[in-house]
Amino acid sequence: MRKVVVSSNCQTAGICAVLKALFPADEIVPCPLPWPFASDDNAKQFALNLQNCDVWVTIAPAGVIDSVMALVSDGKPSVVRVPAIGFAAFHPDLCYAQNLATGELTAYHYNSAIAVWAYKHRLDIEDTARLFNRANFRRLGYFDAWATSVAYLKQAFESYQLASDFDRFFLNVQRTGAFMHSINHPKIHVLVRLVKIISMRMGRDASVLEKSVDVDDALCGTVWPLYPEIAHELALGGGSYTWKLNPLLVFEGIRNYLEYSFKAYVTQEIAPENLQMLHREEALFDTVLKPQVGLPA
Amino acid sequence: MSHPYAKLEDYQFWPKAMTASAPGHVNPALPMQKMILPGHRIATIGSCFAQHLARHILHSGLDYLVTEKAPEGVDPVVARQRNFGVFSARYGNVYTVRQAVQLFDRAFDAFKPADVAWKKDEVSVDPFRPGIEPGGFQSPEALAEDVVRHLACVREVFVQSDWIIFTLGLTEAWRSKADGAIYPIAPGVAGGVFDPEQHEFVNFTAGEVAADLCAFRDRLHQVNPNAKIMLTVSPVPLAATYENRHVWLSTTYSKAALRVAADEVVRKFENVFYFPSYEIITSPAAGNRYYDDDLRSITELGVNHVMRVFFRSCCQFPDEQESASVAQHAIDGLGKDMEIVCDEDMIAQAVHGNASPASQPAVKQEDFDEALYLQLNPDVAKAVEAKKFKSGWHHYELHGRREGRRVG
Repeated sequence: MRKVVVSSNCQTAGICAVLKALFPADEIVPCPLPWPFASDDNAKQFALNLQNCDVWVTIAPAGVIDSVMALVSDGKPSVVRVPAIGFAAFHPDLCYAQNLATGELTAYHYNSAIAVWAYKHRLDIEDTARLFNRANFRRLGYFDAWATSVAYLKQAFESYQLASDFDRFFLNVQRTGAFMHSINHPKIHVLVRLVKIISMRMGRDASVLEKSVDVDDALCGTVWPLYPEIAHELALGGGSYTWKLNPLLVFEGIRNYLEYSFKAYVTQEIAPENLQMLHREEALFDTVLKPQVGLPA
Repeated sequence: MSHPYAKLEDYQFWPKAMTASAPGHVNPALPMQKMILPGHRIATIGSCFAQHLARHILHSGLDYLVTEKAPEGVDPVVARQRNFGVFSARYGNVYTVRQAVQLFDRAFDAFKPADVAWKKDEVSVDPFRPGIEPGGFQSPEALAEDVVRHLACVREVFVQSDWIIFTLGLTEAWRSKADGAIYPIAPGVAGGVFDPEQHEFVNFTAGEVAADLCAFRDRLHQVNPNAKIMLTVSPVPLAATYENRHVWLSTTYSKAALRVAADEVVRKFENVFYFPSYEIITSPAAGNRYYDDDLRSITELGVNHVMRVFFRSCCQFPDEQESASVAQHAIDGLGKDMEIVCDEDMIAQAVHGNASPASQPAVKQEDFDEALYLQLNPDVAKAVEAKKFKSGWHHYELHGRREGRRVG
């Protein structure tokens, strides 16, 4: 029996479950990577998990692997690298945002970029809800995120020395429709495919790709909606405006979601002018949306 | 090393044209020019799939030509039921090319079929558009009057159109032994009586279809030299075959024959083009999701893909201003979001299972034990310490209650 330690992000549980199904005789130990390490002690503490472990399946970048392995004194494990799956094309409105006053991310990390922009410009719920439409999505580039998302994922595979496996992974999952719950939460069948591929570096042969694996989806607790207009553009079923932020926090319809979001920003004492979307070109939102709500360009 | 494929376009290579495209964006119409311009009058004719095209063109802002309009005062719903506006004239589904040629000839008095009316119960039915008037015509005379009106409108379709979009549906048909008149539906199905002495089955060959297409094109060219024809093949399989073989075999034959004929005619005439409806719907990239559960009807997703390609590849709209560079600019930041690792709550939730915490009744603020809440929920305590929340109560009100957090 081997001891396999799995250190990924929120995909850790799914990876473990699939590995357990593929290697039932092995001990599979989830051990999410607390990266970046808060201190050297923290890193040493983490390295203890790898003592006398046979395989370390890890999301860690190459440099981090080296530094952690240097801290493992006994029985260094073999390393199998696994990329985190991220794909934004189904959810291009999902963004991270921060409070400029504190530098902190919003309490609930996922935000609608349009909602963030609207809160910043003190729009009310009705005016904001009207901004969720096909024309705006098109002009904001929401219909054109596919190529960028594929390129990002391909790059991730390449940087994890899995370039030759990318087609085997992606061409399979892209046939399954909207395969992400959110930009960084893949559906379980995506993780199944990914783990089957890396399992071939852990002793399984190519026949594993045909094996039926049934495990629970640990990430379906948070589901960002595939907006109907985007579903239409990608010729996919399942479009909706139902936000499932957690199993007990579900919002049907744009207005209900906006009401929650705006209230949450107020509760967190984020002044409108301090709410900033991350990794988005705010000027583009200004150009596209301002004329529609009577704001000067 | 140079070779004949070295400088070909992306759409000529399977990986770039098929597997690399976003879902819903495989475009077999490339490299078609945008030839349908603002102001062009567009008519549709053909099998049932042509109704989808007609519906979308009608609502697209393009100039959809309808020469046979409902009488004034008729309720729009009733008009639709009576098949006004379903096609450019009220000819119903025209499944075979031979039927279209004969329709043309009837419109220009070059063909007068012997069969003019079928009986169905107490009413009369047009043998060449048996479903056009849901309640039938009250008398053969009323039907004859309507046919005269109708054929005048058909004439106008052919004379006025800048474009005729012709959806090729079937090769199988029933015809009159007397004069070769083609019926859209077998006699006896929607009216009339099937008589093997008078009626016979025919399954046109690809060569016959091509010859009929040439005949149709030539006739149209005579009355309207500037008109162009856009051929497309319906992806809807046969509902039934009269051939003694599996319906799927007959379907594949029929579609193949129509496709071959269309290709031959497009290569022959400068004013005839092909639009790949059939290819879009049946493409492996569509993964069968463009067929409904009956494996025959086309889903709205599929129709939308066809129309998206049609409008973007074939049509020029007056307000076309989309800027790809702006769109690209908008998504440059998307990849960076992936670098943000999930917060601890999400990781814990994923590792420890996704079972929903038991729902619990809301606690009022006066009953809320702040210290106990922070003790039971150390991640909240950390968040409060980091000033993400003003207090435990603040967190509980915002998230904790719905998350089913322990309060005591």
